[in-house]
Amino acid sequence: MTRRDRGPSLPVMINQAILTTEPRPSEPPANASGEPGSPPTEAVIAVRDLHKSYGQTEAVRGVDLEVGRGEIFAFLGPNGAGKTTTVEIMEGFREADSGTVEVLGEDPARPSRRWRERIGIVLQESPGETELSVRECLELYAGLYPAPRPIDETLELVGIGELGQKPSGRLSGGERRRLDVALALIGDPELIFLDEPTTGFDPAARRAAWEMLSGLRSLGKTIFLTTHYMEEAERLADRIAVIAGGRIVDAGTPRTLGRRDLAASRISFSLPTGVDPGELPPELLGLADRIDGRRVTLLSPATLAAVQRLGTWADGRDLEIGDLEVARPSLEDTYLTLTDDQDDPDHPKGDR
Amino acid sequence: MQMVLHTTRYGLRAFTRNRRARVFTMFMPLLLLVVFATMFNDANTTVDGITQSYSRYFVASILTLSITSATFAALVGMIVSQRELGVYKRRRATPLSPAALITSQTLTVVLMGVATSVVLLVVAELAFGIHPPVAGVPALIAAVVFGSAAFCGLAFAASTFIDSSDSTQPVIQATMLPLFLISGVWISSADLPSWLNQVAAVFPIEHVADLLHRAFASGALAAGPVAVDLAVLAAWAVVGIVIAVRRFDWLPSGHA
Repeated sequence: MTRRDRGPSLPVMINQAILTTEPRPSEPPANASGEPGSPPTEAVIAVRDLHKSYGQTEAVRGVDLEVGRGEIFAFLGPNGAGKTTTVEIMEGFREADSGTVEVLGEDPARPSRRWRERIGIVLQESPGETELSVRECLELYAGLYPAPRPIDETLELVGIGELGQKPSGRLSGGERRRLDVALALIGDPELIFLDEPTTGFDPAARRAAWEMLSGLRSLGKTIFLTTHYMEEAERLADRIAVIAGGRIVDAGTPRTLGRRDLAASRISFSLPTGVDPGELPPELLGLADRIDGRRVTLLSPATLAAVQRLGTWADGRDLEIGDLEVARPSLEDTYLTLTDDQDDPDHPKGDR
Repeated sequence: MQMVLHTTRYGLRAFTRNRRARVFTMFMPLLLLVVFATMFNDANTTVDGITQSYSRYFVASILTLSITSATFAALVGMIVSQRELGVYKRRRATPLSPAALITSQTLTVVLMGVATSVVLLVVAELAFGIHPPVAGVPALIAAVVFGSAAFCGLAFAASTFIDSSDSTQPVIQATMLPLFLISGVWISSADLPSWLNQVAAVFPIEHVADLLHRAFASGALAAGPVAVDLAVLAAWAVVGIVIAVRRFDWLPSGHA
């Protein structure tokens, strides 16, 4: 904030910001599989115009999805949005009414044994074989695959290496979830479906689970993740798709989802006593979202320019602005805006 | 086939560790055997024209109970709870084929039924000196094979009408208890009105019990009644399988 006045250039900077943000990859994903946000080169999952109804209810109304090899893809949506139905069709548990679904190049509705060997599924809340020990569960499932992963190594990988002898019915929620992940990994699949992997976890267990899931990335697996936790998607996913009302309302990287990268930042500050907000320069007043006494909130897509303008103005008047806050819209804000718009079934696209 | 045996091995391990399954399929019949055989040591009874000692009669009855418990009650319980707990869904997500999954479950309970029956036979012989005559052995084996087929088929069919584990035991008890009472298992059929005997003859338990009682009676097997028993049990197996094929579901609810 030491630069000198560049006041008149504010509108220009706003334009530049809009123009330059679009093509810039805001944050490259940790894996090297391709450009973020761009269609993946090799599709592991390709869904086109998927439809599924239950009686009169149209649960899925024309879903398109594409997931590339090595990606961690997060699929978000409120309950009843068609999320589970879509995932279960891709897993081969349900049949689509219309549309095409290709998972690892095959139609999941006619799953071959070879295809089953190549995918791993972590199901939602399943207590499983409670009479068997952790190790026995893994032995049981390992025996169903032609080239299973070593059991000890898999237990280590999910962080329950010391629990092999424990009866699986006596595991804690977090330990059970790790066993679920281990069971999905034991066949050494290329593609893993993870259904709400950390639901019901305490914050510490959730962080530990995220570390474990990040570890899977280094194995080169493709991961299709559904979750209710925005932080989870933000931490883990290369790309995100949001489903609401049976349609994909938006897809992008955690940075660009819902044009979040272009959305205005919230700049809040309080003016010193005796200074009226009306004294602010007009180009800043024009950005005002809320003025509450001396507390001013601006919305600006060109954050730095607005802050700079404010700084220059305050400097010129020798004012101190102590409680300046700049906040980007969170992924959760973006998600809520996107899924809020589903009231209008013909225009579900969040326009932000 | 290798997968079937592999899955069955772990199924048996899980089964024998499940306290409820152990109590119902193993200890209950054993306890009843000891109690009944001791209580009715001397008296005779006549069932279907066969006169034998009460204790001999009860050994056959308790074998009927043990086969039914393992292949019907335990199997229904296993299917419903595994469907409810998502074990089925998880297994279906693996390369294990549906046929292999069903076969291994059937094999698990049939092996449990056979193992319990063997234990019962050994205890009956050692403690009470009761064993079937050599001529009765084919009927004994037929009772196990045809009884298991009928009850397993019916178990898969019945499981499609039970939507949660909570309702499994009430449904099973409500169907099995009256049938046991009218099928000449606990009470001699001769003591019941003939219309009840006719009702009982429709259902499979009466025929398994009949085969077993004949197996334990001395003298040659009556070919006619045995053929009827086998035919009725085979018919129930087919009915069960047909219903199961039409209605069976891997997912907990609402799978279209």
